[in-house]
Amino acid sequence: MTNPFENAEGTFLVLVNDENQHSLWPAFIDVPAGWRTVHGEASRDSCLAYVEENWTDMRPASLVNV
Amino acid sequence: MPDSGSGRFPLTAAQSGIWYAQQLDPENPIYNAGEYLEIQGTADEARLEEALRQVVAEAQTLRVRIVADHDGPWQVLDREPRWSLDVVDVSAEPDPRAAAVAAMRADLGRPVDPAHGPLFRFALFRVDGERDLLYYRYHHVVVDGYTVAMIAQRIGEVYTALGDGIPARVSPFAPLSTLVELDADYRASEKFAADKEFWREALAGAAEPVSLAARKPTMAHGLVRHTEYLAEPIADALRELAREVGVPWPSVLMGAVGAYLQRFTSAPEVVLGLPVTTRLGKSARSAPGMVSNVVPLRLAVTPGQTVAELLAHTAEQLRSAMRHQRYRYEDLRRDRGLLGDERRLVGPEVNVMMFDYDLKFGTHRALVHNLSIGPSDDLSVNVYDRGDGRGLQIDFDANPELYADEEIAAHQRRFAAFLGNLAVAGPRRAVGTVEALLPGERDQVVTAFNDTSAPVAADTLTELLRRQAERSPECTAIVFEGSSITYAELHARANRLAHVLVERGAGPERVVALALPRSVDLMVALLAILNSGAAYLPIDPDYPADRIAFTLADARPALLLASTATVAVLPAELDVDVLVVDGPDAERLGERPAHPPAVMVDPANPAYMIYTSGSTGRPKGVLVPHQGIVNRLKWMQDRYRLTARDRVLQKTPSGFDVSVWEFFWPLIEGATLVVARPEGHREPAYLAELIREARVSTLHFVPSMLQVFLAEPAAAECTGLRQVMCSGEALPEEVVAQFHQTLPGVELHNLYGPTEASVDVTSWECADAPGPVPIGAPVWNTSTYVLDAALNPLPVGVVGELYLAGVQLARGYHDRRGLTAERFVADPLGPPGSRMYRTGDLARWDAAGNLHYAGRADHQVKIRGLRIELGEIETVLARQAGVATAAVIVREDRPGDKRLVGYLVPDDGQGPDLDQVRAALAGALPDYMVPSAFVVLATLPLSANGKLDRKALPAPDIAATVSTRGPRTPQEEILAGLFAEVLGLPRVGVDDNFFDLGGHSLLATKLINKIRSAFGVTLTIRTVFEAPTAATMVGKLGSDARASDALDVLLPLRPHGDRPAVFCVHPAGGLSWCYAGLIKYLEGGYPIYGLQARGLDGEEPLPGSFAETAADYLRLIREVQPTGPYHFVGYSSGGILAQVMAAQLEAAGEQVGLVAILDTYPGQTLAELNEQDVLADLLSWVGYDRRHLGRKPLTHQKVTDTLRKLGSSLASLEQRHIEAIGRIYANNRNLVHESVPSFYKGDVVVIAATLDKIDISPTPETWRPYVGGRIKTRRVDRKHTDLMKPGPLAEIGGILAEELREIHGE
Repeated sequence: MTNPFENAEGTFLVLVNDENQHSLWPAFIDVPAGWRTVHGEASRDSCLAYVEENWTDMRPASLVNV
Repeated sequence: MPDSGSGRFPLTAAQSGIWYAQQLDPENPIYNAGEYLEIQGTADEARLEEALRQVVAEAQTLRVRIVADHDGPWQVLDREPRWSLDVVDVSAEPDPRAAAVAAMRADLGRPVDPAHGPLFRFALFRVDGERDLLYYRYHHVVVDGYTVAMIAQRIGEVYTALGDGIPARVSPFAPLSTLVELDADYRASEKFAADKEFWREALAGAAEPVSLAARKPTMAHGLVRHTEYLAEPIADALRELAREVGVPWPSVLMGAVGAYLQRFTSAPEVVLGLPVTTRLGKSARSAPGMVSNVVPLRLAVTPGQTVAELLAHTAEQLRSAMRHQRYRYEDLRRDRGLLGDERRLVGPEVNVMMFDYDLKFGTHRALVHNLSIGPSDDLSVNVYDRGDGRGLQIDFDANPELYADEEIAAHQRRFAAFLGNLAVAGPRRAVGTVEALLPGERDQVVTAFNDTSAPVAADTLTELLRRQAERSPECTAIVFEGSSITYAELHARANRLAHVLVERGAGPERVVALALPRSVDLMVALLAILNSGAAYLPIDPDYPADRIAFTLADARPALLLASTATVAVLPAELDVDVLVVDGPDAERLGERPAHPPAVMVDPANPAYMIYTSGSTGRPKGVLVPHQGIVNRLKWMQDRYRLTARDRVLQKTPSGFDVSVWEFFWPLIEGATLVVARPEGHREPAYLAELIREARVSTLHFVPSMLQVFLAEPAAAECTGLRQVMCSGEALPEEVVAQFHQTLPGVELHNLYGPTEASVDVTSWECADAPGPVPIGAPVWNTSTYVLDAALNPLPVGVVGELYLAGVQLARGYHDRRGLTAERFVADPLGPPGSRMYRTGDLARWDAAGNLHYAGRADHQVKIRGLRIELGEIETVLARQAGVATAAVIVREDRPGDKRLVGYLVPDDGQGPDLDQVRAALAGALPDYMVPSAFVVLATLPLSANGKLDRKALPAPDIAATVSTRGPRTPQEEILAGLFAEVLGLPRVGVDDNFFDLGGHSLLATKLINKIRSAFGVTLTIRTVFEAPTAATMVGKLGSDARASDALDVLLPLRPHGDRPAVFCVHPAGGLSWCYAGLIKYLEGGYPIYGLQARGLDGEEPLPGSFAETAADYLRLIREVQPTGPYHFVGYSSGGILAQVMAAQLEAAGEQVGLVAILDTYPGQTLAELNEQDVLADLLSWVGYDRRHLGRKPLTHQKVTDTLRKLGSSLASLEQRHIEAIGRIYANNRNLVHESVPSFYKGDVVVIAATLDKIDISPTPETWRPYVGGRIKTRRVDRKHTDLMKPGPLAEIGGILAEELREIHGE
């Protein structure tokens, strides 16, 4: 069983939603509504490195902004 | 000129394959190939028959029979086979055409013997005066599809020529010998060797091909065929796509089948079967016969590749496969090592038939209708493109053994729709994003099955708990070890502690750890943490220090709550503020206010954090917000309805999230929580007692523990139970059946969910009926998706990866951003901006909207419900000194017994010390993650594509690690036997550690159950940990069971029990160890003692009469059991003695129960026994045939060595004991001959061995002069001398158990 998120050679995006939650995303699949691309297309490692660096506060944005 | 030659030829390789298959299954009609030609007008019967006769004369293969002699099968060519053209007029039938086709199918359903010609049949069906149907059927052993077409065309040609009155052109057919010779030439050629090499490389590293069927292919006995027509505009668009990409048109259809197959299997590659003609030259193309073949078409289909990439790749693979098409399927199977194996060489077959017959019968056109094209092991997709503007005909031929009719129909419709979508997608679209579902299917699985919306107010768990305490302050909140506490008291204590926590830094978005055993204090601490606004983090104090230190460093809690007991076992150097809840800190608690601290908690703040195993070697903390667990608990209440009368058992350790609902569900609904004592969750007997006495109505089990619990006799008495929840691992159907049998009327629910989604996300109520056990349908406000490798939903019945969405999703992994972004991902099917969690579990939907679990997509495993990432163990293992690389897998070498096994490859140095490795792992990982066995390998086995081949890892040879010291007493022997039975080993040494041999807590529970029934002693799990060897555990069975007592007169075989004891009287040799074999069969309530002769262990004088002996024994018996009834069993002279003792007791006014005499009769004489005989007897008792040791005299050494190898305690007898046994035997022999039996007025049971009795043998009635009561005979079909062997003893044990039950009126 192959999973599109596990493909080490695949091309990926980093998506972010309004809660500032980050998601790895396979580049070949349409970006779902409510998410915007903030990084990529790039390698899986590059995308994960972006997430590590930029998702500094993992709390949902609505909670932080209260 | 028509050829009318005769002769015999070898079979082609293709023919051999079919002939052998038909021989294996002679009644199978699947090798009948049949079609009919729809002639658009009326055929002239005589002319048609003439044409047919000419063609039969021309095509040698039609005149062939296959016969076998000692040289193997041959094809024999007959000059003039007898046959006739059947003409059937069906025009009077209501549906003439259907009647004709039914008659053809009936003919195709009749098996044909290839040895009896003709192997063809022709029939003409007159349908309606406007058209005729010409039916022909051939055996596949003489024709292939190419030949069928060639012959049909020739029939039309000759018929037409005859009508025109001109001779048809000369026969276009080459003789059969052409094919036979070409076949033989090829197999001897360099091309054959080159093809073999080509396929070896082409298939290197290929995994077993996937199929749409879940089951393995089997020999087909028929076909399910579904036909769809693809409209011409779609066919045209697909042809245009082929042109645009620049590939031949069949590549589009084959690529499409490949992509469809990939979609529904999520496999990384697919291997299609490609039917080929193998007719590469002009002469091959003109010879009728059977030479067709099937070769693999290996396609690397990935959902991310574009349509153009897929088609180009398919065309390339197709080209090279065609170039090597003559290499046979059967040879490939052999080369790949698949002979005699169920594994597939290819998946579904795809046959694109482009040829159009363009048939003419005189002036009439004729259309071909195929009925049967030969066997399909699995599935064949046959596409007919006649290029006549009528679109494509697509047949799905499936093996009905593998596919249900509606299943294949659904695939058929979906595939046709997929082709349509592919046609409009264009070459640049990613293949995985082309829709393959039918319109209704997506709605069904995405929307209808996930219709779970329910109103749940935005609340926190803290608020729910507080409001319930206000509603029922004086009700009992918690019961623990006999004490109880009310809601008001619980909350007052928790609030006081919460104030301290807040002062020391606890609050929302902070974490407070707690390391407390199950207790009221634990509950107070949990509530206190929630009331402080913080999330709680459970720490198991039994975990290794490294693991605890890691967790605390990773989670950075504000403080750690511990007790004086747990703080003592926690690592000394912890960089965290510790508060001891029962220490000095706690004394000032009384000064704190009893109301909660003023803290604002948001439903999105975390309520708890639980660590789970991490694949890269680091455990990860899952942060679950209040809103998730509140939804979960509210759903649970709606679904299972607790009332104030309910009592919920809390037994799950706090580190596992099942404990979350156990803790809080009763406390937000006004019910009572019954807290099991620490360690109690592993003790079925304790749990049964607690459930009964504390009136528990609701509890949870991991399925494997439920199974152990149900094996506990007291489980059936838990009639106060209302409902049992199961989760954590697959719930086997057998366990469900066992549950309903043991606890009729109690509900059993199967729940499923990962920690990442607030405990459970699906549920199913297990009916008391056989059938698969689904994990059920989603809970409130939750969506569950089964998705393919491009995140498309999969329809009912298809296995895919399970994703979860909705309010119960955790926030993510604490401080693990990358990992969170990988697992909690954008949800393409949910509301905008929502996330879904990727479980890594495989599942499929059923038609009713319930999910069925189908395993794991990755290497996460579960053992006894505990989630384990093998990578985490491998990381730790590979770090150990002397280890180069390592692998860990779960083995299930015995069904139901899952064990972790570690595989190590030593580095260049000295290699690993396994004891050290084991110790190091125990110091770094929780005990359930430490492999139970290690295997050192020179290299790890790799599959052809260079990955670890987990299936090739060998089973550990645990038996080889067993120590040699045998048991010294009968008790040790029984115990070691129980160890071996539970561990599944042939034998276990008395010094072997239960856990080193693969024992784990679940097996320990099984061991405890067996010990209880054998010895009447209930041990705890802790005892097994403290005394894990048979030699040490024997001391836990009671103080009487010491080794030095083994030769005492009164031998306590099982000194425990609340019923009258059974006394087993020694046979003439004086030793009563042989009776140990009985104890497994007598219920636990009866103590069992052996009586042994004086003089076994010294020079005591031997008795002068049985009366004297009996009086001596009775004195000892009355010391352990002062009053009757007394039960006796006796073999050989023991039978006589038993009767004497019974008489003496009776005379003394005592009550006697059972007197069981094992095949012994008054007036018998005993044979003389020398030392050799004694030694042979010892062997005989353990079921060992003395003859195995050869003809030489037995020596003491030889016999004890043998006994030791067999694990018998008799091996501990020394030479002097053997001599003593000889003396005792001789004395008893004299006593038997001299004694005058007593008279006993009561009943006796004589167990008579029947196999060695003859007419003049004594019978049970021989006892009549000496027995006043009933003489009951029980017969066993054994020999007298075999009665003390294990098998007969088991039988005797069963009889004795029945007799005891009868005496006790049960």
